[in-house]
Amino acid sequence: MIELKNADPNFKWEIIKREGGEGLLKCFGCSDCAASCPVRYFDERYNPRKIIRLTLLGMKKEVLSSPFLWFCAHCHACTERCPQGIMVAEVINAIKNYAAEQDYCPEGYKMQLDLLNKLGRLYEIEDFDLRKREKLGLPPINKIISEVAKILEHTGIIERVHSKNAHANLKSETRNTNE
Amino acid sequence: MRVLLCTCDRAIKLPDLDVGPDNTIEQYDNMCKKKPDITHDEKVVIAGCSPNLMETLFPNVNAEFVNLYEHIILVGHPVYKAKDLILAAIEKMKVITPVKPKVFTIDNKSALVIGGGVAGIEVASQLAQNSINVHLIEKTPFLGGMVAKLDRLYPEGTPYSHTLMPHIGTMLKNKNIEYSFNTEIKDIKGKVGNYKIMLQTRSRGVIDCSHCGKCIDVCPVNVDDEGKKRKAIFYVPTYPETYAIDFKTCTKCGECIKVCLGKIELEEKITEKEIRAGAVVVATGLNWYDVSKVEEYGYHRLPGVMGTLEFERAIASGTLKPKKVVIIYCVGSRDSKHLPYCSKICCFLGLKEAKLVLDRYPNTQVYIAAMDMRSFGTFEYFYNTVREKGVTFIKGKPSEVIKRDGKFVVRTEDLYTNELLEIEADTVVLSAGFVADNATFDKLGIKLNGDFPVIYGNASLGNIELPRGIFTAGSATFPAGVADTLVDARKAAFSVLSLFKQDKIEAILANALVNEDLCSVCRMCIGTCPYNAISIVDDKIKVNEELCMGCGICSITCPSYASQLELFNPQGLSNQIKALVRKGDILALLCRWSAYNATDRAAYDKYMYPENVKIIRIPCSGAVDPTHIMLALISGAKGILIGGCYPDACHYVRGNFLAKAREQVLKMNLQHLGFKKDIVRLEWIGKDEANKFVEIVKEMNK
Repeated sequence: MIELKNADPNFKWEIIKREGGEGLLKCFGCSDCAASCPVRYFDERYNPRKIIRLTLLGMKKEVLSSPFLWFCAHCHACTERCPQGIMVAEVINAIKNYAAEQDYCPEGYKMQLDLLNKLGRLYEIEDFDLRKREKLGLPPINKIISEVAKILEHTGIIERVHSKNAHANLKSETRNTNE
Repeated sequence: MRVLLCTCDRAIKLPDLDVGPDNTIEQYDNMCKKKPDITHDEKVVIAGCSPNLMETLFPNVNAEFVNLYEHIILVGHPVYKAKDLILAAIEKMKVITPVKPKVFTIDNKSALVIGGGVAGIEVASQLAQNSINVHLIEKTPFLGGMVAKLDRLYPEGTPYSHTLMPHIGTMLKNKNIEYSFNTEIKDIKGKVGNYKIMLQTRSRGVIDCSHCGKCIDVCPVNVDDEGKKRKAIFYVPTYPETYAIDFKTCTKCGECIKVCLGKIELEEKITEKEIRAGAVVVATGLNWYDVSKVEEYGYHRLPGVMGTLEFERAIASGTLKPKKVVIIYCVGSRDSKHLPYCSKICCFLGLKEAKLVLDRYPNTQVYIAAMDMRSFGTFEYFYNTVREKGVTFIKGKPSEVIKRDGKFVVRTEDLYTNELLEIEADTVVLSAGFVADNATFDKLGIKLNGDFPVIYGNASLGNIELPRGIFTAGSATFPAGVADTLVDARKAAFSVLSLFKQDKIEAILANALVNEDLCSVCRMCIGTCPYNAISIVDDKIKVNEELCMGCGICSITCPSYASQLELFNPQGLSNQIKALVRKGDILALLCRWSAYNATDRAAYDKYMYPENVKIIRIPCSGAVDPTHIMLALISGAKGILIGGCYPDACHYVRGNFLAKAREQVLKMNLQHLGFKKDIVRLEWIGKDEANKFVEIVKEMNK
């Protein structure tokens, strides 16, 4: 059961303000996005229609804390098929960005991002790998690609994901309403 | 009797055809190019090509058509079958009495328009522009009808007066319209072209008015008129520009008389007046369904739950500033317990209310709980606009509205998320369906199909009209928006104009007749007539000629054969069957509107069928008597096929259902007599289903 008492009527407007979230209100729930989603073939719990509907209803906490939000593979099949021309994958992206700012980003993503920031790739190159490459006659590679860190800094994603304050505020807010 | 034979450019020749001593045979090479003259008084048998063509060549004649081209030449059947068909047709026509054309004279070329809403105004204005004298009556003291009650009109959200006032202005320019307010129909008599109508008028109260408005200031009676507050003396800003007293609430205190500069009478007087008209246009409009009957939503039980009109008026007048609104759709609509149909316009009214409240108070949260959003045509843009304004749509019909801690709680399930929902709101609006304002329908003899005139809803009922001379316009036909209403009103005005263009209407209409010597007044025919054309007058069965459409269903329902259809009676069909059917034949009795056309199609498309299939054209599959089938079986028929229209597509409303009911009883009885079950078959054969017809007869021939 959806507790509309906890709904935040401004939530949908906040998503609409963000880049990619503009088309959200056009949704009339035909479920074409869910039907064309390839991720859904592997895990039925992921449902883009449900994410959009819950956003429209203003169920902020349910949407942001849902682990399924992060399942989207950004194949854009839904964007191609939406009869209302909503960029569904972009809407999901906007919600993800919002969730990240509110520190709802899953730990795994955060660790991967840190790794990427530190090394420039997700797989750490050690001396063992370099020796193996030498044996195979391949040229050595840099252990760290520093350009990636520059790009990440430019996008500001690190700060967005690691801003703890917003999440703390939100948690205290919801606690107050529950009381 | 003359037998007219068309040889179709000498493709068929019957030199040794013996038509008997009383009859003469005339041969023509090409009847379609050189037409013989046929008078209305004589009976003829016309043998040539399909009756579908022949009827257009020879309209209004007393003829039996024999189809030689499609049933003999094209399908390659032998010549003896042609002779059989012609002789059988002669046998049938022997017992038929020729019908004289009926003449309806249009004596009076003025029109009565009932209803002063948008539809009535448009009809009156269109007719008056074509120099027709119009009498427009309205049951309330002011013009405007339903539209004048509203604040805005969908989809643009224009104020009602922007749409209504120009139409009223156009109408008022015409001098040949007479207006009667506070007026209703008491009685109506007569036929098309000559109606006598008794009108009943209640007095207005205000006799002479200078429009100063002082009476409203002093009137002590406050009336809540569907969400709008007014006094017992009131004014609606349309036409006429005179105040009126609502005598139902007036306490007759006399305060208004003291300040009035004109003249007011506080006694309600009722006057009667007889007028004459040649045609009547019913533009009585619609009403909201009584939502208090839908108990779960708590209208009346929970004060504050509103109807659409109350909400609109409260928002427009600024008395209501809601924070959270839930608009519930389809209240009573699409519900077998209330209104089984979709009223077509209430979705847009709900959208309009949502837009109205968001335009005034943008911070309001609006929820629309609808089982379906039906925004047909270009109204999809309107739906998009409202959705993008931030209205939350919930798919699913709410189960109930309850009150908890001073707030309304709407319980529903959101089908988009499959989750239960409880919406707390301070305002609940019920968007109800519509019913026709059918108070006058009974008096005018308009037959209803459910709640609306029978003409609506079945496009296949081609020639069915309301009683000729009485037309409906606008929402009296079916709920419609202003744009659709205007179109419908112009259509009705056009029908009246084409009626008045003629001085008399002359037509051979095959009507049912009742032989009073045989009739035992058992009233079986009254129930079966699809058009309510049969009634009891002075203890005798009478058929209303204007309503009868000539289906022949009553003639075979009658247990004593007292009711007979002109040009097609049971005796004639019996004679035809006796003369036509030989041993081993298959008799096909085919409905003229569908299955018979399939045989024509079979000929054009070269679907061959056996030569022992003998086809007879009947008006309706419901007009086949079991005795006809027994006669055919006695003559040695191998099988009998009755071909009719598909269910719900019957030209005579329900003739094919009656045929189905008869077929089941007949089959049972035939089995008792030792016949095979499949010896009689009733099949639905569409107009173009030649292959289906051919397959069935081939199967029966095995």
